[in-house]
Amino acid sequence: MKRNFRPAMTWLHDWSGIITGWLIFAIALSGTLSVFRPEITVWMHPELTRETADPIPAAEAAITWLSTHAPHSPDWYLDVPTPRAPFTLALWSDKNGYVFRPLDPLTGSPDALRDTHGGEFFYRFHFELQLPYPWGRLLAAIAAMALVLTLLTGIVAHRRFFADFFTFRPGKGQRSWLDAHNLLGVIALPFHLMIAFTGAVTLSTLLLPWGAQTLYKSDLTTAQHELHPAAIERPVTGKATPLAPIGPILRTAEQHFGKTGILSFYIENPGDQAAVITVTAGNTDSIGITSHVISFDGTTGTILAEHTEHRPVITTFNVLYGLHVARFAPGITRWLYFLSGLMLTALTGTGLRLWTISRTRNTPRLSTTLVDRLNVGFIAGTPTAFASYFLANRLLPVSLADRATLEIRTVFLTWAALLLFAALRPATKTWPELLSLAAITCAAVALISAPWHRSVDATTALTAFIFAAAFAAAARRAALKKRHPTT
Amino acid sequence: MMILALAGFLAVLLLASASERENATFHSPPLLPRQRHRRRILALAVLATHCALTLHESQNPAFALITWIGQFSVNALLVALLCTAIRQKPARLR
Amino acid sequence: MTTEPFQTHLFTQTTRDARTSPMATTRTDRLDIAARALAGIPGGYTLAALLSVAAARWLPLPRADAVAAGMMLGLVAWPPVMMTAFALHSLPRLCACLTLTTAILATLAYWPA
Repeated sequence: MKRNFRPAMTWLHDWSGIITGWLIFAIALSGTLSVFRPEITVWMHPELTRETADPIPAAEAAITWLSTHAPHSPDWYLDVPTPRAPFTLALWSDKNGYVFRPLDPLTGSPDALRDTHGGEFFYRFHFELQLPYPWGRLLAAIAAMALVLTLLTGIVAHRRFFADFFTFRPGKGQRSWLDAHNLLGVIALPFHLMIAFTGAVTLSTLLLPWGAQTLYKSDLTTAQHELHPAAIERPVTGKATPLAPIGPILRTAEQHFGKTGILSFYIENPGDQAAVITVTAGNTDSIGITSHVISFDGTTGTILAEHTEHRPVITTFNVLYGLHVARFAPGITRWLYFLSGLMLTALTGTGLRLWTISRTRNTPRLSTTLVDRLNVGFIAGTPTAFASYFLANRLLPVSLADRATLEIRTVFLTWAALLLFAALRPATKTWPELLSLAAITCAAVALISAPWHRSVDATTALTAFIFAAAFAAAARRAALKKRHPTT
Repeated sequence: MMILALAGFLAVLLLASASERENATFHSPPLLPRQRHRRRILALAVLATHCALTLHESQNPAFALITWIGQFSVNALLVALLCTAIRQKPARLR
Repeated sequence: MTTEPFQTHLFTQTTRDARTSPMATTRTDRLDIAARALAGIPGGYTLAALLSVAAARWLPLPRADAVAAGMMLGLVAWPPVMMTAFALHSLPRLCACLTLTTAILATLAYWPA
């Protein structure tokens, strides 16, 4: 068989793209939304009317509440309030498993805030896909590697895209889709490659644990200690001892951290003599994550260990990780991540569409027709399903039991229903139908954000409105095409 | 800030007007290959200067570089849409 | 007036970018694809894993650094291996290259124990 480099890479691009494309599309879209994880959480709590909170008093209130309501949890994890998220975000465990709730910055209690996972849903879905550990994460890691591969082979396959750098010719069928695909790919290529590779890096300990296993054998404690020298683990003693006041501890940490402030802290064995409080510095002055960590004795408040990351390779790893999660990013950069993420999502969508366009022209095979139909379900259905999460958040009664789970169930029920609908009808019909539905759902999100008093509500409404307009325009185009299939 | 952002957009526009396909959108008759080549070098020089200035102006060069790359992507998208709009207009009038 | 250059490009480009598969799907071709997929996916992963272990063992760095370096090198190595699996002309030569590299890396990774 004659095998030339470029046709072989084109073939690989097409097949790795179509096999992992739907997964990558969903991961890219949820990842794009997670750029605004705290903002979405704030949007999902209309009860939060204050736009700022003082971190240390809020942490004190949270600890007081947790001490009485979750004393038996083996650990408490808390993200302190930031200008982006005016609440303490707490994770603890009770007899039913993990509980994840924002706590009111004044009372420390979650009771006044509705039960929702907020932006955390998109963040978790982005790398866990709502599947049990470790399968979701493994699948996401493989998707990240597949995306790296598809991007690299795509550079070879579409090598002419540098000549077409600024070219988009609409209304020309396959030509237009190819233009859009090339354009979206090339203009944000550094971002795409960076986000795909660093995405794999964030999950690399799961994907390639063999180096650590060989060097540390089964000595996980040493491995953990060498990787995070300031993370102290102490076995529970069983002797009940009250926690030292958290305020002074956090203030000490704040002095050590300087202007980046505190990002989060966690308490192991709260209420026990072996309690440890570990505080992590904020991530606003460097790209890398967790560069400065201090742990305190939980009962006396003295410093047990402090670590500032200077090791070259670990720092590189942290920088790659930080580039992906973009906690460092100031406002404009954050929006650029969001836009570039949308471009990646659209790149995947146009790629999926191109795969079927070239294969459904003559008499398509049954499998190709099904892929063509499901493409509609994924490309138009995923945004609708994600938007339905926003609607469920505002429409489900506040006092409903297990509300957060029901919100998430809404997403998957909507998604499944749309995929089924798309599978059963010809794609030429479902394109305008599902795109219109996406437009209507996004418009509904914009309306339901009313009253647009808080800045997050106004921004969300505006963004949702722009999405609605884009989907409406796409739906109109698809409807015109249905009537005149030649254009 | 605003001036620097606008300059970035104009630099990308200059690059587009030097490209193989899009220079015909701005020039009739299209530029000669040598003219395009010269203009492309100019555009790249302007972009490099813009990048250097942005880094120089900022407190944190690493953040600024990431931001600059993102801005370039968005500018390129805007320029591409602008080119499409310009190209379609005469067709509609005809 | 400006559409003319685009028309010519349109034709040359469409044929060049036609997304038709370069491989006809006969039985031998399917076997060929399956073999290359095996070489690229499990084979490539094995190679990446062994590289990560070998690097972790032999890089002159503290343990935690060496492990992190190994993981990142492994991630970098996998996609090119995958591409090579589909790019090389001769399947026997591909198998030979892959086996040899894997053997060398395995030796570096686990010997002496």
